[in-house]
Amino acid sequence: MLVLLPHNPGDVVMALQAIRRVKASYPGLPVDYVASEECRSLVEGNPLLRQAFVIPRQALRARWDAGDDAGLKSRLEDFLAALRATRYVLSANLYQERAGGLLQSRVDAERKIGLQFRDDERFQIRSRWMEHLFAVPVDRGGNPFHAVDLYARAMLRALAGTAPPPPPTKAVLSANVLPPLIRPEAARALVPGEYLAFHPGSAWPGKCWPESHWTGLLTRCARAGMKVALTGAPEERPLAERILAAAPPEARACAVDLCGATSLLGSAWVHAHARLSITGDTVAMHLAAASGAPVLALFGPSNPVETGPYGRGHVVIQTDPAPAPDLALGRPHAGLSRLESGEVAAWVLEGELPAGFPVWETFRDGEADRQILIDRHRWPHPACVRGKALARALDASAERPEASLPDAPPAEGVRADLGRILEDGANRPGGWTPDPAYLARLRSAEDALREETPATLVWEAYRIATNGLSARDFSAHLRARRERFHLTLREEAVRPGS
Amino acid sequence: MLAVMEPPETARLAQAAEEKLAKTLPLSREEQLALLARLLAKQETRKERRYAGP
Repeated sequence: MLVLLPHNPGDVVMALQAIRRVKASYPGLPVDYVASEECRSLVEGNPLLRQAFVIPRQALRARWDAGDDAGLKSRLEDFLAALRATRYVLSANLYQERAGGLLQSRVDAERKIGLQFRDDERFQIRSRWMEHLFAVPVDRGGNPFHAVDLYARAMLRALAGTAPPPPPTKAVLSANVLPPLIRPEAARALVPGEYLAFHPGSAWPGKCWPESHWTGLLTRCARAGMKVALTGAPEERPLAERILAAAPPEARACAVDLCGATSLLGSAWVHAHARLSITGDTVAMHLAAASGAPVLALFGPSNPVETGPYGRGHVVIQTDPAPAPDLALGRPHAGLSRLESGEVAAWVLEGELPAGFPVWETFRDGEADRQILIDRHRWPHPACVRGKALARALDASAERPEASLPDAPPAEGVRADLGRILEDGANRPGGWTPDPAYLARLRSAEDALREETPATLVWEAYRIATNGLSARDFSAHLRARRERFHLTLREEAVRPGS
Repeated sequence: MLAVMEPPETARLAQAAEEKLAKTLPLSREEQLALLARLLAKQETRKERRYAGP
């Protein structure tokens, strides 16, 4: 199997967690991976993978900038030839950008899922689960699935075909997701299990807890006798320095500033051996969770159900119950600013819950084979409750769409209108060219349906799927569209509003 | 007198591919390759700059 998800590092860690789940059902399956140069260290030497293809982006960029067309084309073709040297059982493109779709079209595989540029004319998304992944932004807060579970389900379903995938083996489920971690030289002073790891920075302002709050947390933890290690990218050194400079000397004395002093895997070692890793929705959070270290994640604009720490027993303080579709990552987040350092310190040191913010624990719902969030009364996150039926419906339709879903009730209103229009066009002979009046009726009915279902996952998945259908033979296009329309009606009947 | 710089062939093909994509017209294999080259060469995420290293 080939997996494409080149970056960012946190996404690559999540893809690796999904690969581990797939290999738990298919232990003998060799898996190759396409990564960016930035994420090379996460995939090279990784025990889950057979080999890694690293996109030579710096070499391509140098040739592009120099206007060296021949060199650019030759370097890219070399890379594509290496990728194409193996015929894969499955190519899973988990990357949601056009470059991934174009790369996927050059891969030699019996089956492909995810974004793919097809028939020289359009991007298409294969796999019900990947369609769902692309549909998530319309109802970000209502999405009931973690990205790792979506990736894993998409790959497992594609490998298993119409049969259920083999049960997972525990030996592989507990295998390492990351390559072997080596203690960085700068972390010699740290005693494993006896310090807290803070990762205060993020590439996104919206994910950053205010630096004064980090200073406050550091000060309180230091007063309680805790050692604290700070990690981050090289450009975050000034941030760490400001956090430390604002702390009293006795708190500074308890801190080990490793910001910019370690590699990505060096940071992973620091978080993997911490008593608790405290971070926003960052790569450090995913690295810590992937290595099994306990995590306290402070969530602002993003959805912890979707991209929270993956694995059992991590804790999330969610400061935004209604994540925006675009996540609004570019500006500081009001909810995170309201979460005071004293509240986080009270949880870390005393186990006391912050006032006014839900606190969730990650939990494995073994029956449904997915991660959910639960509160201290073990009550699931509302999105996870809502998604249970949707998960069943998608599983059923991914396996046997003709038999596993109940019949939909008779369509009414705009659904009935659209059904009639699709029926009319689908029954035309092959090679039919639609007249402008027909196209206007179709467009008008689709627009009316969109207005009525603006934030529903199943209808957004319908729109994504139909957008990828070839229109070269329009009556064939309409037959495929009609089929997808009726499948969506049946899914909607299982879980209205999903 | 203004000198007009012609874009290199790959950049021209990539631009043509972008325009065709906007109109959902077919792309030739050459145009697909040029678009992929542009996307891979020019795309630079914020995080990539952060952790790229030497």
